[in-house]
Amino acid sequence: MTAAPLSAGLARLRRARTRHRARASAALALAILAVAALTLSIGHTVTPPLDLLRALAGAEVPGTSFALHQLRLPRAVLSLLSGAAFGLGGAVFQTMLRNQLASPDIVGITSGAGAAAVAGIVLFSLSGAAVSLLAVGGGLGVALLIYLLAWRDGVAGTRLILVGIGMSAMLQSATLYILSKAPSWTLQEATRWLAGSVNGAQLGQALPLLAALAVFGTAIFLAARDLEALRLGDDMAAALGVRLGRVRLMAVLAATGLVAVATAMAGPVAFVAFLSGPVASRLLGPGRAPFAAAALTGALLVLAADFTGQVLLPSRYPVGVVTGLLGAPYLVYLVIRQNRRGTPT
Amino acid sequence: MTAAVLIAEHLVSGYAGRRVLAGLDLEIGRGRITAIVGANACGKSTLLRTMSRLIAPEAGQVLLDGRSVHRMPPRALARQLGVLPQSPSAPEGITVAELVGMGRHPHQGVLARWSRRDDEAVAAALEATGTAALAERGLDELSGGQRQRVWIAMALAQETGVLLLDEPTTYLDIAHQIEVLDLLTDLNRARATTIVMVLHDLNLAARYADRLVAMAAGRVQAAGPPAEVLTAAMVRTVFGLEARILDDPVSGRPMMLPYGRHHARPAEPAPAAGRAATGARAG
Amino acid sequence: MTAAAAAPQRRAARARWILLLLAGLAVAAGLSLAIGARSVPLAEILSALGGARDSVGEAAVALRIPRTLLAAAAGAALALAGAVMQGVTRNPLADPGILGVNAGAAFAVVAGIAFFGLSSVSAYVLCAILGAGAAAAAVYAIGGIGAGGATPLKLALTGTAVAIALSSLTTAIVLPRGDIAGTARSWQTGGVGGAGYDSLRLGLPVLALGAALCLGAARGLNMLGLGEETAKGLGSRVAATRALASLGAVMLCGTATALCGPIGFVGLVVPHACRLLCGADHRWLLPFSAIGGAILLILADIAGRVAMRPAEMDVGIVTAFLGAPVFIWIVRRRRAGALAQ
Repeated sequence: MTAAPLSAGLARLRRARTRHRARASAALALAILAVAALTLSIGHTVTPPLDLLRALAGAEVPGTSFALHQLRLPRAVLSLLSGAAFGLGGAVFQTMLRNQLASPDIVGITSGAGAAAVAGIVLFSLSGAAVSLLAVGGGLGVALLIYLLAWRDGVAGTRLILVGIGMSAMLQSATLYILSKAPSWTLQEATRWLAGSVNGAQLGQALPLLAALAVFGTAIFLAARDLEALRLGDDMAAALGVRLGRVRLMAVLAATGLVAVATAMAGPVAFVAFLSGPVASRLLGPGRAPFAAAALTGALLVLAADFTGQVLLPSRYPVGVVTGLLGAPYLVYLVIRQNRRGTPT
Repeated sequence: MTAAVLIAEHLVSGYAGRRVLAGLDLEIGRGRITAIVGANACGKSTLLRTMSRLIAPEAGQVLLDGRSVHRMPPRALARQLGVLPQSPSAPEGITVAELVGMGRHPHQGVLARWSRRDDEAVAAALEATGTAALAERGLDELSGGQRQRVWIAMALAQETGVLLLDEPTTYLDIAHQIEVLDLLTDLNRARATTIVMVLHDLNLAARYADRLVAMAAGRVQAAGPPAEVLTAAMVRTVFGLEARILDDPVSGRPMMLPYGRHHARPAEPAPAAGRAATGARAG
Repeated sequence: MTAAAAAPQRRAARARWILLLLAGLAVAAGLSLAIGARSVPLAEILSALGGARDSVGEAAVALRIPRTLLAAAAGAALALAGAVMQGVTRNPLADPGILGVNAGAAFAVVAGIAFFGLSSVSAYVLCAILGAGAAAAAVYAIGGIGAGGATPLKLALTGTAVAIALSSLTTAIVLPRGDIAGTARSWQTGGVGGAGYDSLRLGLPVLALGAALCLGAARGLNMLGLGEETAKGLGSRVAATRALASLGAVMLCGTATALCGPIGFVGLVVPHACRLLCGADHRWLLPFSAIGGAILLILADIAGRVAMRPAEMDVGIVTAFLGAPVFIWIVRRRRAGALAQ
């Protein structure tokens, strides 16, 4: 083979892969639409599709409009957006640290946001936006602390993961301690929040999530190529002209921002940040870091899990318990598979 | 003579406060193959990593065509100087074509789409390394020697005039070592790529390099054509080892045969310095 | 000459350290009896130890005796288990908490309460030991899959993963069952405040057996420290050492968890500190760790009583705040490459 047909062949190959990825992403989007339609039409009562469309369009449909606008729609929107933020943030961490287990829920970011929020609820009797702000601050603060503690001649992924695990243990203890001091009325609020749920969702909560997705999502989109190169290891990425420190700090901040805002709005919904990336890369095929697809997968996961928890299970579970049950076996499976292959760090 | 393309000036460098290079000077000739040799922990990898700006020096500078490597924008530098670190890692499931395509990273802007030019560069790199037939295979499926050729292909797709390699033959059997070194020689001849590599094997280094750089304790002990550098005295100072130097009948380069304690010694007694060094290492 | 002369000297130094540690243990225990919501003078402590229960002070001491005993026993057990786990896995970060043992014990107890209506302390202990053992075995088996065996990174990640998975399951069990929520929550942090003689009487024989197994494996652990193949080459029964030592360690930390609830990081911190005192020889390291662990947990319990007086902080929380920084310090000290290999 000479170079010209070879390069044409390579181009064909690449286009085929791109098409495959686009199709998989489209399928994800369709699935999201389908599940969203289900959650919007099924609740205490079942709304016929026509009524649903009319109510969505703004018409007053007796018995439907209230449930839809006050309950189901905010719930679906919050699920969708927080899922997308969790998924995208998780995928960035996993790509940057070259380890599927290095998601924000495992390296302590979520614990940081959780500890801060619980402290706010219990110790300072805060609620609403103040708790959210505190959670975001806690997540970012812990992320920076982990980053600094893992710093020694640059940040090695392995060290960052292990430092995160240590921090996470400490933060969980702090959370438990605060909970043990909680009077019963705030205890309930705090535990509900910790379980991760979209109960009582309001449309207003969508705004911070939208803003976070817009700002941090753009930053991640701009750095996507550099993050892609980071998958080859620090040295190789540096050899390819990536500014390691800058890209990594940017990625940590953006991903933490996403995860922290989502945690603030929906609580630490277990495993969504961790599951989305691997599931998305399964769907898309290997070779590329699946950022956009991970966001879609996260949205689908939270929507579907909330629907399951509300409608399909015998007793009503908050979404975090469902994703936890779903994620736990997959997590163990992933650990086994990753160990078998050898840790790519 | 060809001018120097890469110059290290009074380089002081190391890790976490541990100084490995203490004021090192070195010039790398354009279009040449240079091999850096030395005992373990003599600083040869640190030198390579500092020259390729994977480590920032504490003092001194590295000049690539007269410009400081550590001050150039990383992407611009990555278009002129390629590095293949020791045992790089690849993401799970990546194909050969995709991996080699990563070499195009410094040539692509943040928003730029993949271009025809990129395809051609990847194709040429695959051709040059004889890995075109593997393009669609996963990297996980390949043998050690094939994998190393793919990594070299990736560095080639980067289209740099200078290529630094940190022990490109580790973990390879002797046949694959020869294959990789032959490939690098091909590239040097066909594309006039300047090649700098750290090698463990003195004899292979002497056989393939135009210029040998022997290091000890963070300094250059000797640098020059293999015939001048690979001497019994150099082996003694750098490795603390007695050796006999012969002419390699295969390549015409010098080759080294070490003496152990159980093998015939040269007629004259070994100098005390050599033995002291050996003793210190063992203790 | 130096090698032959150094051995007895080292032994003497180690013996001195042991005596010093024992003295420290006595002091810590004394403090634990004296300090609390009410401080009790020495004379009353002594009379209380003699059996008198006349004054308020003596009554308070009487309550603090089982608590101190439990802290000492659990601390010794956890530290000994940690030292053995670090030896068996050749992994500096091995610790009952990191290996998911606590989560396993908690899950087993909650499941036992929810599905089998368990209610006796002895049933809890048995459940906790089984759960702890199953979790440790699973984490070690999964972490050991693949190239390089159970590396620090793989083991820590596997342990965290399994712990998170188990606590998700625990939450799912507890959430619809308001009746067991209180019991379940007491399994989230470890404390020695509720100690009584009943549970001690139940736990001590198991702890003694576990400790005997661990101490008996000391020599084998030294061999194992050279690497599995070298140990085999030296004629050591690698598999037997591993099995006995692991069984002993699981019995120790399972029982400790059953008695006090999850207490992390004692098993991590104490052996590392003791290695600085006595070196890596397990014949010394194991007893050193046991005494050190007892001291640490008693002191941590005192700290928990004093820090928020008159309220108390569970000792499990105190150890997490003491231990996590040490964990991070150990991680920072090692080269990145050494953690993944």
